[in-house]
Amino acid sequence: MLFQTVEFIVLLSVVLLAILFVRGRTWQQSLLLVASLVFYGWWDIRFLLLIVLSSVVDYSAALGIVNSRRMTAKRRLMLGLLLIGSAVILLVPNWPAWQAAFKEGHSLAPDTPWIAQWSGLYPALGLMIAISILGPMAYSLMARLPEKKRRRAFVITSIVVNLGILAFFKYFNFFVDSAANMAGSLGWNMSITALEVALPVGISFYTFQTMSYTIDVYRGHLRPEKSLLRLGLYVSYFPQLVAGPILRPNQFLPSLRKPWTLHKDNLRSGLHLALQGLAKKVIIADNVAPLVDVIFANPDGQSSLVIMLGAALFAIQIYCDFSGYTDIARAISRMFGVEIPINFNFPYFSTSITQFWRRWHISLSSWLRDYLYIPLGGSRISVPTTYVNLMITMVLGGLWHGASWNFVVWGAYQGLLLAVNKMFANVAERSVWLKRWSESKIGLVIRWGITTWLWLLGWLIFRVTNFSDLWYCIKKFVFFDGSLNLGAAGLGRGDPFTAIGAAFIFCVLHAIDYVLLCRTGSIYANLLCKVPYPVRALIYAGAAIFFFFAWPTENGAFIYFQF
Amino acid sequence: MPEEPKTESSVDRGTSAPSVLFELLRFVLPILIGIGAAWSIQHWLVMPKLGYPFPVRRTIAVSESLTEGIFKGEEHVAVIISNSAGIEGVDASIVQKSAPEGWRIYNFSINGSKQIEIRLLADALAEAGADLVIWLMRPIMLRQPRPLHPDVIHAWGQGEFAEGRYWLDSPWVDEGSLEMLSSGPWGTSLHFRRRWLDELNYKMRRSMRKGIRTPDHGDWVAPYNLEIVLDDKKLQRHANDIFLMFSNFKEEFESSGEGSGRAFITEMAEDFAERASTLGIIIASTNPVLAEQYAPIEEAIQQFLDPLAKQTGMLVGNAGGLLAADQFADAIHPNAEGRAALSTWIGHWLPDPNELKSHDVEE
Repeated sequence: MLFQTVEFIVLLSVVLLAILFVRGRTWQQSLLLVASLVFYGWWDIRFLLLIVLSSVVDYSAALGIVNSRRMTAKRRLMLGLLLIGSAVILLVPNWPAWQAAFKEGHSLAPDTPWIAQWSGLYPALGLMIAISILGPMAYSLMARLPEKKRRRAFVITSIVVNLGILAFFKYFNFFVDSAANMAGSLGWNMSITALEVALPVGISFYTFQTMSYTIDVYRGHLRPEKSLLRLGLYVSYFPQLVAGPILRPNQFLPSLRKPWTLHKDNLRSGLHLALQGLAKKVIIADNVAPLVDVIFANPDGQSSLVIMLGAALFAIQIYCDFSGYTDIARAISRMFGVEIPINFNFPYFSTSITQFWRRWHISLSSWLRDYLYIPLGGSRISVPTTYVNLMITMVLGGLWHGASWNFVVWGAYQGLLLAVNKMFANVAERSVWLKRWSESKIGLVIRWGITTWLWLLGWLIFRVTNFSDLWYCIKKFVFFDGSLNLGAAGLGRGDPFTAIGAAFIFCVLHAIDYVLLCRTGSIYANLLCKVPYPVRALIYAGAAIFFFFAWPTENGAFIYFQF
Repeated sequence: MPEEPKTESSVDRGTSAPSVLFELLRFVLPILIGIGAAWSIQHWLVMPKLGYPFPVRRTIAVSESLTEGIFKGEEHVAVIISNSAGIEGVDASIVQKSAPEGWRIYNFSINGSKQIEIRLLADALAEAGADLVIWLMRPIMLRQPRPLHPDVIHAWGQGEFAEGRYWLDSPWVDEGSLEMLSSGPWGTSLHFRRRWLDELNYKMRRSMRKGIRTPDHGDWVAPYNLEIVLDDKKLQRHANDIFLMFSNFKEEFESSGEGSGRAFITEMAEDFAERASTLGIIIASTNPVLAEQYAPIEEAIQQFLDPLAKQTGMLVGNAGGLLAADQFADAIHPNAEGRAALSTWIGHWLPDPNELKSHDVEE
């Protein structure tokens, strides 16, 4: 379900009314869980099983880590039955046919079978039954281990299950294809059939979120959640489920201790933030996207200027798409009275790559820092190890984005930049002159220019998946060819005015927003709350007129859903 | 480094339901008023001022010409319909010169037309009194009919082409498209709400692309656009794109089951067999750079069309290998020389008008 659709507005309205009129905490949370499952199941109801499986495994593992008395034999049996029941309900009926008919608004053909017809049905059902039976038995065995081994066994089980799900759905075909290609290049003919596996929306986001729960419990930073309902809601909380921000348990679970109440100030502030996010997505990102697609559909033969324009437009598209989603996610949660942390802090104003990664996709970079970089040793062991750790972290961070070699290269590129940045920072620390220069106004402008050029090059690696096209784009981006002709290079197609106009509007408004933040400590959405109502009403009506005329004919999915 | 401020909210603060609902109303009401105002501006100001978007204006012009009775008083009318193959490849005045005496020739081709549009156009022309409707068909048209672009559907709907077409209720047209075909003027205004942006984009694109001519939308004689010829590198890239498209649709070309291109053409030919008008299909000319890929497909089309022609009285022609490489502007569109050659060939191919079935007998 996309945020910018009628069905989502209906779902959100129901949830808001439920929070407003249902006062009991458990009832409220049950309704929110159902809403979250409807939201996620809208894409493909079968994938709800992954949310159920993750929730049950992490719930059990966390209680196992602390050897909780709550996990009685009866409770383990109930959890096993919950898994079997969910598997039967979600996998066996012919949901794909019913969902397709419902969405397209037509009735099912009379000869449509009631039982699902997809090829993986019986293996998946068998696997779920095996997990449901063997899981409680494995729990009993692990619970009898000495404390240190028990804690480790449970956290490893949780990580293996979560990463196993992610690896199967996201990376199986990638690794199989890569192995077959490598074998082929060595002269061996490997015939491995790739599986027809659909990628569950947002799987990387909620997998990392659930993993942080059991790891935090293992580290003693968090007490395990006693209620499966509340843990399930943490895993599936619909505003941020499919594209983050990746929530840490201590950022969300405490808010579930009391019933949620709506407050008109939160509602107003949330609506403003939602409007801002929606404008970023549908007015900027979706209007820039068609020209980016035209430029990168066939980059071979394009001039340097067009490649640079394409990289700059893609930078704007991906920022507005992703931060627009985050704004809407935060806005919805704010309406409920729950504050989700920011995910972007004006990253394109960064004056170093290190700073860029502190401002871009903050919830992922901090997750990678806390759960990968620091456990690897971070910068505590030695200088060379620090660089190696940075490289490992960023390559895996790149791979997190998608099962494609260009993401691996992109991650390695970012790791290299961070290592060089760290090296430069170490040198600057020792040179008073260099330190003073890099912090002067001219130094900051030059640093900003270099940083911008470097991340634009990074976006090329991110966007262009074909390696021969990518090599061509990099050459054109790095060595300017002197051609200033945009028309001959293919801009005669696409919607150049809309894309360049939207990009220009974004640049101006974003710069003003940044200045506002620096001077007043507030951004547009917050400032609007302080404006008298008659002026605000005019702004709302003006925004509606602008949205009417600039909203694309077709709703585009958010880019980060695929990750 | 400044950071975006956190909200001042707190989970502890509650409020009464009426004040929350009132706040929501104060937000929603101006937005609804804004949407209403925008829609009215679009309907009463933007659309009358700017008209329909450029790519669908020819469709609207077809509707207007047929309503005005363009064929009134003509005795023997032959109309060529196609996509850009006909736009670039046919000059009706040249066809007229080489055609048997008595024919009045028109070129009603529309850029980008898919099979369903061809059928809508053919039906409307037959009803308007055309004696012979000639479809200059690219081999790609043998693939499964594709859904139409929403802009195009609205234009066809606006031209009232869909009324009374029984065959629209079939595998060829989905329910969403059918709804759009019958959306009224307000629905059409809403659909074309980005009309002002389209206009600006169109002007910017035209300023960047050279070698493109802008003919009158109602030019039913020589509506060609291209005035340039691609260089070798671009031609090869264009040819590669076309070839790639062909290899992707191989299975569709061979299919004759429900919903296939072959089934679509068969139904269209059978329908015309019952009408006063005659249907003709000419296989469009192919650039020799694509001959290797096209030749087997053209042969398959010919084998499919010949028995169908015997069964239904449809006329069939094959101009596939007619033109040389230097008679093309790009991989698929003829240049001025190619246009003249193909138009002359079509004129010679046309039968004597008196040999065709008569309106009076059928009606």
